[in-house]
Parts: sequence; C-alpha cells; structure tokens
Amino acid sequence: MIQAPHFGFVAAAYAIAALVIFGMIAAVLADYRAQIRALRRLEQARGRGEGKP
Amino acid sequence: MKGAMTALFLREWRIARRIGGGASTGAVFFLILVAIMPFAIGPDLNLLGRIGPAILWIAALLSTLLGLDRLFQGEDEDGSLDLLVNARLPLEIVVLVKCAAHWTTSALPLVVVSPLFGLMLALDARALGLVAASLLVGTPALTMIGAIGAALTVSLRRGGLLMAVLVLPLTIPVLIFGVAAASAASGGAAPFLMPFLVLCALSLATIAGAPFAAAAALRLARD
Amino acid sequence: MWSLANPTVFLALAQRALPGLAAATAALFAVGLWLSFTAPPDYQQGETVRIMYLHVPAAWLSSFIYGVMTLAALGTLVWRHPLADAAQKAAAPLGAGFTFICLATGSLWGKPMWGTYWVWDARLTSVLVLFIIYLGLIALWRTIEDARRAARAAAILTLVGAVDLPIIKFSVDWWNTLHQPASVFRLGGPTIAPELLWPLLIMSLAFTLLFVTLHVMAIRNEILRRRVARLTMIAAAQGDSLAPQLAAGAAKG
Repeated sequence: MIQAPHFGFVAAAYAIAALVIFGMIAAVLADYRAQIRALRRLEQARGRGEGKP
Repeated sequence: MKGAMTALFLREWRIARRIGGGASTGAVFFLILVAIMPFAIGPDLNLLGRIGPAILWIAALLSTLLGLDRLFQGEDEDGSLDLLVNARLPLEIVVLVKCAAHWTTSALPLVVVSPLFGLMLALDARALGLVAASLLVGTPALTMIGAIGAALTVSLRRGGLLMAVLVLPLTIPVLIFGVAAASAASGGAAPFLMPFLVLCALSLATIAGAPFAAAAALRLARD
Repeated sequence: MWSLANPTVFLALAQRALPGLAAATAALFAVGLWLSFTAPPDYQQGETVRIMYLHVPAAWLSSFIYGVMTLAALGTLVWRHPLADAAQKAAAPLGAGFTFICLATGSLWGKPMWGTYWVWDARLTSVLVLFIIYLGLIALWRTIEDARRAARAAAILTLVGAVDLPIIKFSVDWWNTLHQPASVFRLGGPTIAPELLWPLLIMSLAFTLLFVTLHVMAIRNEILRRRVARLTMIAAAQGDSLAPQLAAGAAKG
C-alpha cells in the first residue's frame, strides 16, 4: 500500500487529523490540570485566611 | 406609536445628515472601492464588465458593513441606550426604525449611485438596471443582518472588526443571489427572476426576524 | 437533563463516566482504524478512499456539534438551564477543530481526485463558512468580558447562525450548480459497498464518542473555572481589611 500512488496524501490526512485530535485532548487536559492547581492553591489560602480574625 | 416611530425616524435622519458619516462618506467609500479594483485586476474592460456586478455588490456590502458599526454606538456612548430599551415603544420597533433610517441614509444612496459606477466598469445599460434593482432589494437584508452584529458588539473594544467577522458569513446568501440577479444574462441563460425573488424573500425575512435578535442582544449590553 | 443542573452533581457524574467513555472511544478508534486500513481500495479512487474514513465523520461532527451548541443556546435563553452556558462555550473550540479536520482532509482528498487542493464545490464551501462561524463564536466568547453577557450573546449568535446555515447551504448549492459543470462524484458506484461502509460507520461512532468525551471534560473545566473565579474573588475580598463585607457578599454570590 505504501507504494500506491497518492499514499502521501492519505498519510498526511491521517497525520493532520491525529495532530488536531491529540491537540484538542492535550488542551482539555492541560486546562483541567490548571484549574485543579488553582483550586488547590485557593483552598489552601482560604484555609490559612480563616485563621485570621 | 406611529408618532413615536416617526419621531425616532426623523431623529435618526437628522443625525445622519448632520454627521455626514452616513450618506456622503459611504458613497465616497463605495467609489473608492470600485476605483481600486481595476488597479488590482487590470483595466481590461471585458474582464471588468464580466465581474462588474460582483465588484459593485462587494463594495456595497463592505460600505454598508462599515457604516453599521455606529448604528447603536452613539446611544451607547451617551447613555440613551437605556432610555430606548426602557421606552414604551417596543425595542424591536426601535431597531426596525433605526435600521430603516440607516438604510435610507446609507444604503439607498449607494443604490442610486451604482449605475454611475457601473458605467466605469463597462456594464451595459441592461446590466446597470439589474445591478441597481438587485441592490435595492438586497441591501435591506444586509442592513438587518448587520444590525444584529452591531447590537451584539455594541460597547466592545474593537467591536467593529468582530462585527464584520460575525456578520459577513451570515450575508453570504444575500451576496450569492445579489450577484446572480445582477449578472443575469439577457439571453436567459442565467435567470433573473429566481435570484431576484429570493433576494426579496431574504430581505423580508430579515426585516421580520432580525429586530428580535438585535433587541435581545441590546438588552444584554446594558447589564 | 435537569438532574444534571447542579454543577456538583455533574462533576460527580463526569468523574464516574469519563473513564468508561475514554476507554470506549479508544476501543472504537482501534477497531475503526484497523478496519479503515484493511478495507479494500475503491475501484475508482484507489487508496485515497481511506481519507473518506476521516473526512466524512469529521463533516458529520461539524454539523452535529453545531446542533449541540444550538440546543445549549436554547438552554441558555429559553429554558435557563444553569449548565447550558458551559456546554455551549465548551463545544465551540471542539467544533472548530473537527471542522478544520474536515477541511484539511477534504483538501488532501481533493488534490489526487480533482487535481487541486481547493475546489469551490458546494460541500467544501459550506463547511468553510461553518468554520468561519465557529471562529466568530470563539472570538465573541473571548471579547466579551462579562461571562453572563458573553454566554447570552453567543447564544443569540448561535441561534441566528442555526437559522442562517440551512439558507447558506442552499444558496451555496444553488450557486455551485450554476457555476460548475456537474462533475458527479461517485463513491465506488451508486451505493457504497458494504466493505467500505463498516469502517465508515465505526469511525463515525468513534469520532462522535470522542467528541462526547472531550465535551464532558471541557464542561467540567468550565465548572471548575467558575469555582476558581468565585474563590479568587472571596480571597481578594478577605485580604481587603477595609471592606470585610465584600467577603460575605462574594461568599453568598
């Protein structure tokens, strides 16, 4: 199949699709981690803050 | 309600004429667009004649778009937007009247002037008439769709650019049928009536529907 | 739908459902990809027909996601569902991504088939317009700072687009038949052979499940982002000794 004409196009199409899909997955996961980190930081600060009058 | 509508229309009319950013500047912009096209395309009259209707329609679309940016901007800046939203006149009617005034002061001059510019693009007499007719019937749709964009982006920084991005895809059907009607060949190979009627339908539909979307968007801007 | 209205309930459900969704998605893709590469080549197009297994699911998803956004928009404006905003905002970038895949794979399919990377045929043109509308929606979300106003403005634009998209499709179809000689594009004959149909269906299912998984994850991120915003305001107000009542107000709101 690799010798078939136009195989480069097929490969490029699958490569681009994979790139975009993995990009979307990565973006959603990175956003999730960022939110969890921010939440953890804020919960800690809040816990410390409640010690003050 | 008739009295309020007339009063609003006259107010818009007077403001547009006084500011002058409406009719005259819009027509000059139209002229400039038509004039720079041959610099890019070349002076070949045959080519220009073939794409002349398209050039006129694109120029009309862009002129209308640029003018619509200010449709609600003035009210937003001096706070009278609140007054309009809370007035007894329904906001949808307010939007409709403002659009009617805007069309009369900004788009109608383009329609009137388009045969003159069509001459520069080597359009024959029949084509000039078709272009003017299609613009007359199609520009209301452009105004109404643009009003939705103007209402969504009122009070935003760089709102004009965003408005163009939002509005232009939505106006593609009007452009397609407008140019089709304007380019209708005299031999009947490309029909005139069908795209012309679709243009009428699009304008009527947007006149009926767009005020609701624009009014809803305006109410958002106050919060 | 209304039982999911409580963000905490949604988060708990997402926590339980996501591993299963992700596993199912991966499994479907594995099967689908295997089928795509072992299916016989099309008698007319040869190997390039394998691009169809990407292009068609992506095209279907680009419309489907817009439908999901339209439902979410109605949820925001008409039914006042609390999570509708998040669902809408989360769907737009995903929609743009899959639409881009549709355009790119269509273009790479077009070069060997029609000899050019881009053709103004009705389908590609309509999808291009849809892509631009997605980008406009994302731009609108980004430009309006107030979250509530952004959600409702995006909802209005989505609904206007929903009304306009069939009109755009119709006018582009009509314009295309007017300008292009009919180059009928047949996929291996008048009907798709069953050996080509199965990979198509499995890949379509895989793509759809991928979107559902990503969408749930993205909605979860939106809910968390709102929590972060609220806690940030509370923290800022607590540190402000001149206005302790702000902390109480932010804690309530």
